[in-house]
Amino acid sequence: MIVDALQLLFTPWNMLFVTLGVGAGILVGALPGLTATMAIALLVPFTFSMNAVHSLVLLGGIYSGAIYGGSFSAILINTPGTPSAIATTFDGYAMARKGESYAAIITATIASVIGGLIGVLFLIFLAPPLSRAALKFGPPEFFWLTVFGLTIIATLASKSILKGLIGGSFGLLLSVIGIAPIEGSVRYSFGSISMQNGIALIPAMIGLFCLPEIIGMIAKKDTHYNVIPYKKEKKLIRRIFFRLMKKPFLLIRSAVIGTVVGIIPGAGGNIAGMVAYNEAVRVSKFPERFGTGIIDGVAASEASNNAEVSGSLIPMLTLGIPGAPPAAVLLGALLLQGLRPGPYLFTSHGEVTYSFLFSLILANILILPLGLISGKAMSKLITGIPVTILAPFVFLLSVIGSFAINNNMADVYIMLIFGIIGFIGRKAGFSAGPIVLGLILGSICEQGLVQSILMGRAKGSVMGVFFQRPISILMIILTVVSAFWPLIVRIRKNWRFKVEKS
Amino acid sequence: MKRADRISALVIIGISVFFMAEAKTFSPLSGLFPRVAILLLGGLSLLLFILTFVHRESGKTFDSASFRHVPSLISLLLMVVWGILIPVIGFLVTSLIFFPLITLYLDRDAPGKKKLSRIAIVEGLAVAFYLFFTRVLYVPFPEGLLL
Repeated sequence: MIVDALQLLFTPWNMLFVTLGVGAGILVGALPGLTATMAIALLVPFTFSMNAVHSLVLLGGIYSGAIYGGSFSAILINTPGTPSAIATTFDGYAMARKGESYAAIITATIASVIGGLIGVLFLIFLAPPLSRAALKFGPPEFFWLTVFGLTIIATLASKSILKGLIGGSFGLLLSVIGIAPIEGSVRYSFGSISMQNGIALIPAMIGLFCLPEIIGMIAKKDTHYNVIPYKKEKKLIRRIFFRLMKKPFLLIRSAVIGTVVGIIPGAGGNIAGMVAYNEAVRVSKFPERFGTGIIDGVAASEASNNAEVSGSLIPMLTLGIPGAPPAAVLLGALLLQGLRPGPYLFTSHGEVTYSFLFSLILANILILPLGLISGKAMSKLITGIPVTILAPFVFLLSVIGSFAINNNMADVYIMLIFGIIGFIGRKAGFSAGPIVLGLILGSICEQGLVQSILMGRAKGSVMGVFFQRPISILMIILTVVSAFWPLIVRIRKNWRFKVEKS
Repeated sequence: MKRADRISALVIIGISVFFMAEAKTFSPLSGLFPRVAILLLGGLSLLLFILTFVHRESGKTFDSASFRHVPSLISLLLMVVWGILIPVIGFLVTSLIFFPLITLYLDRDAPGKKKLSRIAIVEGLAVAFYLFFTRVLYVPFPEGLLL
């Protein structure tokens, strides 16, 4: 079956479709606001008339390419092209500010390829057991997972943990706007129908990250033309490749985190990237250097979010439960082709299914040349455009990206409001990262909390539901360790200092 | 930054009080999570406010190192007006007006020829993106009164 699948995949048409898919995905992902979900959804109608392999190969290529492409704008203009690239901004943009934009893109490319390939290997060899494990995630586990996720704030808050926590709480509060997940009360909509849907993540994210950056470009006294100086260096690709190869644990750990987070329905590439970044900081011998522009930060985020692509496909292919929104649209494409997810997909439609899985390996490999070529061109282009054109152009892209999500002007207004909040917040020392994290995790956390309480009431023990399930206990331990890790590091440092002194 | 922290803390405490007052009308389960978030936000902001009295006042209100306030605020204002006018006079028309307007404002010291070439570039970019999104991706941008 594997040989048949490979024969089915390696045809000139399929090669062309994978290449087109990855190229188009990179382009879409690089534009702020245009997501992988949107790209796949837009292309699904064009795949009706294609055969199943052509269709899936094209869409899989777009998915992989778009998640990687999000790193371009994260690195070059501090605006994540897709939500998965939020954590890439932390070190990627800092590298670009130092003139190392192409180095950051090379790092993102190599890490994405490695992470993506590790994710596909998990998908091919471990899909059934991993999807069974994902089914054990109930509301209490989701609640504790989000609480664990919130401890990342300590890492994201670059200057002040207190301000980071305030930002995170503000994000949590914003996440409750709209219709409540249980009981259906309308909260803080102030009579607006648009507000009943809640605050859309992508316009808020564009506003918080992008608008303050545009104002920053304009406001800098010494940067009238080139925003980011671009340094030319010889043998840069080879040097970064060998530097990354010396960090196998960073790449493998991030890819495994990405795959695991991808498998859990509801937790997407944004959470995967941030968790991997947080773990990279925690394990590092030099945590204070994260956020200043080092390749470790970019590699952790990118290896993780590209591995998440395959992770999100594991429950989709084996159980019909998509792990992330783009996987949900891919599920629709799968059903349109007459392929029903489940165990039979790997037996009765084995050739098509394995062709699709192998095409993901090909897509990830293709990211390398396509990404490096387009990355270099983008680096030169962005750094060569005068600020006087670049700043309003990025704003134009922000408006388009915010509007195109739902074809709704309310999202553009949300982007503007959040832009102003981000601008004032940045001047007052509040970072955008914790606010976005709170906004992402808030709705998942609330749903987990309220559903767990209802479960507990039905079972007669609310505490039991929260504190007696094995995965919940594991999550609680991880949360406690993560929350107190900065303290542990400080105590360890003081102890070492005392020992050395004595 | 102490003064900025004090102002920020007071503003956030005000927001927390406002949101808490609104939360009174919610049903118990719908109001549970918002109340937890508000208490966290309000409590942490109160802590920030108290901490501003622990250390000496630095006198600095906001972080404004090498920052040109006037151009940035005018550009921000132009961008906000650009966004607000989109549903009124249409996406293409607002883009054709405000994109070059901001470029011209920022390039006000540049020679006339340079200004003209830049206007041509930004108008071209606006039209190209409009056509790509409306004709290729079928995104229905607001047309407003004009186009």
